Amino acid sequence: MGLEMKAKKSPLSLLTIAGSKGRVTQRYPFEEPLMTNEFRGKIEIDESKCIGCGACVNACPPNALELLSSSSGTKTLRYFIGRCIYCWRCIDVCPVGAIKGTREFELATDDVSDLYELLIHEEAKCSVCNSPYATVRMVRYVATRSPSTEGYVSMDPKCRQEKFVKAIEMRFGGLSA
Amino acid sequence: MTYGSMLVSIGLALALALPALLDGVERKLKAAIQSRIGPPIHQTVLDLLKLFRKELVLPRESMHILYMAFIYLSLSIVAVGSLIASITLGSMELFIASAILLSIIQAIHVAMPFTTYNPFSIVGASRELVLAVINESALLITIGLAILVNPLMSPPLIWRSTYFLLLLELLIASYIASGRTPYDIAEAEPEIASGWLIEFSGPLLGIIIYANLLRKAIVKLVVGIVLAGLITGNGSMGLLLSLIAMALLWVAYTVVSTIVGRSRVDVAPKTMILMHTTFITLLIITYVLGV
Amino acid sequence: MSLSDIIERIRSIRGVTEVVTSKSALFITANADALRPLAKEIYWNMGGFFRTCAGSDERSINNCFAIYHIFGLDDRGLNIVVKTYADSKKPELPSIFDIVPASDWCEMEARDLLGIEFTGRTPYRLVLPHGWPNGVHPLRKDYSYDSRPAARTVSERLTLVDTISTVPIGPYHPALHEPEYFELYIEGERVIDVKYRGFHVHRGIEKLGESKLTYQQVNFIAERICGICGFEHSTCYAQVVESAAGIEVPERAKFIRSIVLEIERIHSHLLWVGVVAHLLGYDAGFMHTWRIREHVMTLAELLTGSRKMYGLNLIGGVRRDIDLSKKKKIFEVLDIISKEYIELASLIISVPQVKMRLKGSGVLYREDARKLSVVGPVARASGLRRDVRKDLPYAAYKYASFNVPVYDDGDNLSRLMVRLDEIRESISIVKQLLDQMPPGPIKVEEFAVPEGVVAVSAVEAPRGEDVHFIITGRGGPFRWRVRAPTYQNIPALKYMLKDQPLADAPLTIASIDPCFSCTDRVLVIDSSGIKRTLELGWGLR
Repeated sequence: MGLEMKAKKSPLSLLTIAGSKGRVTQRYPFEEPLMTNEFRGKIEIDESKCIGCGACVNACPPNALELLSSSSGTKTLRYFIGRCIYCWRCIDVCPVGAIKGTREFELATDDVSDLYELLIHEEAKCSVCNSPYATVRMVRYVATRSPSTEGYVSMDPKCRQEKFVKAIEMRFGGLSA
Repeated sequence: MTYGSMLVSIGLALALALPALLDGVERKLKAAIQSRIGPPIHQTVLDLLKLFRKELVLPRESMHILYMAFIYLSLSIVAVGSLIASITLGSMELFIASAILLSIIQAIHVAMPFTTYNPFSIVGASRELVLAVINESALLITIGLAILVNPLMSPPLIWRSTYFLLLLELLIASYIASGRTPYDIAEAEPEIASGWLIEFSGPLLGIIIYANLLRKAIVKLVVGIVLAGLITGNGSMGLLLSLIAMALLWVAYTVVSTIVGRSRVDVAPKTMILMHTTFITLLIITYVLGV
Repeated sequence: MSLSDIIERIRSIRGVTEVVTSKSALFITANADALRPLAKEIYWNMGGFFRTCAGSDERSINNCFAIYHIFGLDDRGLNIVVKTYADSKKPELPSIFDIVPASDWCEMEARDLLGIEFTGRTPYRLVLPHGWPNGVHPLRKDYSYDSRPAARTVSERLTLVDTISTVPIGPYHPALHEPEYFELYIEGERVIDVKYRGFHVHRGIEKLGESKLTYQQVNFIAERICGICGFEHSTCYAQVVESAAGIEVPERAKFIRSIVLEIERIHSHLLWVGVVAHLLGYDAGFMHTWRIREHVMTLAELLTGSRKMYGLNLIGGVRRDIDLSKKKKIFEVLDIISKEYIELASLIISVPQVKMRLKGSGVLYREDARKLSVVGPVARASGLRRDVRKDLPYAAYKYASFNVPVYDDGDNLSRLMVRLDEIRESISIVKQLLDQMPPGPIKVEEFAVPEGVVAVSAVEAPRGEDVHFIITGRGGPFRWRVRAPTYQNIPALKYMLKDQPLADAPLTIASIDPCFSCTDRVLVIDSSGIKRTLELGWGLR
């Protein structure tokens, strides 16, 4: 391939190299930064599409996305840009495609509260024991896509277990069978 | 005010103002060779001003460094002044005085970091000492020979090879004395973390950097004056030529220092001794033979 | 020597209880007293090399501590994992340090982090700071990853002898880009001894990987082990889990991984050449080398989405594909680089000061290199022909033909030449792989990772061989050990720096291409005196 190195160049040839290449400094921030279209910046969550399922929260390696419950019947999806590593795993795993990646990276600020983005969901309450377990939108999402779940989708996991155990008992006359 | 002293004042003002700007040109040129934009030309002036605005922090038990720094600065200014005066007025005595001042300045330059309580400083200073002893001796011998060869600072009728050898040897000695790669071992070696400069900060560093720039100007002015003496003689033309020569040499030295790497502390003295003895011997031989 | 011969010889050692063969490794279980004869047999009689040893807290499984010594027979492409057990109350094992000098650090690390004592050698504290309380071992399962013991700051002074002057290099030093501490004992300008104290940037990565991260999440933290060679860490991790779970990665994904690995190698070597030029005072070489490297960084961003921290690997494949337009771009960039790089490399090695300072300095002799099992360009510059891409081929390397440059002098110049040659080879490998890339999917969508499987994987990082060892757990790794290449190479510095002039010390240290972030990856301590600089408040529990 002809990639041999000749060890006999004179140091002055540096000047010819520099001359032909010119100055390569990017005058950022007075010029556009050197960025391609593929660059991964921060994410944007579409409020209208997010169902509050928490898949992104499970996938996020540094816990930048968190799903927080509050006492007032809401579940908040909190995106903390300070922890985000811009890996876009959340985009990979979101079932409804609510998260979009942007190319923004100039996010520095002197007020850390600028870096928190909150998305507030209404919590769904269990129809039997009235304890919160998921978001209203997620329940609706599951129910519309999988009508066979309508028997238990409005119950929280504990009540579902109890109902299942009762059903088995009723069917087989007891669990010890 | 006589014409001569007016010229000397103007020349002195230029010679004191130019080194900072020339350093900016050096950085810009270095950046261009490295394919980057580099700082603006007045950056060194801005740096010095910034340093003087900072608080003074001295290493412990080191008030003497402050005194030495001031002496370093004042002697450098005087040396510059006497050099300017020597070529403007055609005074060989002032030229000899400048050479003596140069050696005193070099001695203080080495003594300052030597008396600081920092292992890096002392290592840097000892390296500087080794280089300075060899190079300064060569420089002084060559200046002495220059005085011998052209005592009246006036252009000779025929150009002997002695003159060329003289200028060549002066160029080499002054390049090494200006503390650039490959002989910036005392300051820039990464393992001694700035070497002799390490303990200086704030206004003290500002004084030392400026005095260092003057030292660089002095060694180039010496070459410029000898050259001017051989071409146009003394007077206003001599002054002009010396200053132009100083600026051009500054640019040339920059280019040379950018395209080579740094030498090593054990190899550098050997190379220097070899070069200097060769050229000085040749110089003496050609002078004696009248060639 | 055939595989059955190897197994026979191993079985003949008294105390070996079980030998299991799998695709790429031999798993041996032995009693503690068989460890030393086994080490001698494998390391010296069979000509194997030592990769690392990983201690593991298995008290929750079978009520004992275990230690896994990983050897490699490179010429046969076989890993040998030797497992020995230690008592859970007072774990003690014989040390193999005198037989295998390369095992020094990992034994001391196991001692610091798990509390396993090694008999027959003088122990010292390697990884934990001196103020750390005794008896608290972070890697044990009963120690939570975010607990902070009451440690006190102790000022460490390593200087033992007062008559010889010492020059400290680090931890804060302008020459070095990462914190580490070398104390050079000098006489005049000659170095007569070296003491190294590293592990200032422990971050608790192994503990994090074992505590709260799922398998897919660990990819991203593995990438952040190193800022320069991150992708090979995440590749090695993905490979080790895939090997444990028996996941067959699609061919196209293997090709993409190899291509990006080689691109990372090019960028890393160009970076290093620039750093060496800078240390030699040849700043112009530094600037121009990094100018060429810019093309590689932009290319990496185009392919993966980020200039570094590619985030490309997942278990089961990669996340982004290389389509035709990207393929064209890669060829363009490689053409630009090869032309400019050859010109610049010939220029750098012909600058007289560069040649003069690199030749004959920092010599590592072949016997010392063999004793310490050094890896990567350091080994190849001392005459050892070791390259994981050839010895245990992984990803798509078996489809590319390339040379492995080996030089015999063992000095700084040889290490430079090895890396310069490797850049050329990498450019050639990428071109070959791009031409042969098969179509198909780029990742496996569904897979299951069984629990309790042991696996080892190695990858040739720019700095040498990187070894990941895993014991799978539920949802995440049970024990994950990373042995980065610099970890293996730093002990060789002691031999390289002795009797050398002081001026060459940073140059020699830089010539092994040290990546201290890779080396210090275990636990971060917030003792009462050290301020934590990042107080994000809400996020940290």
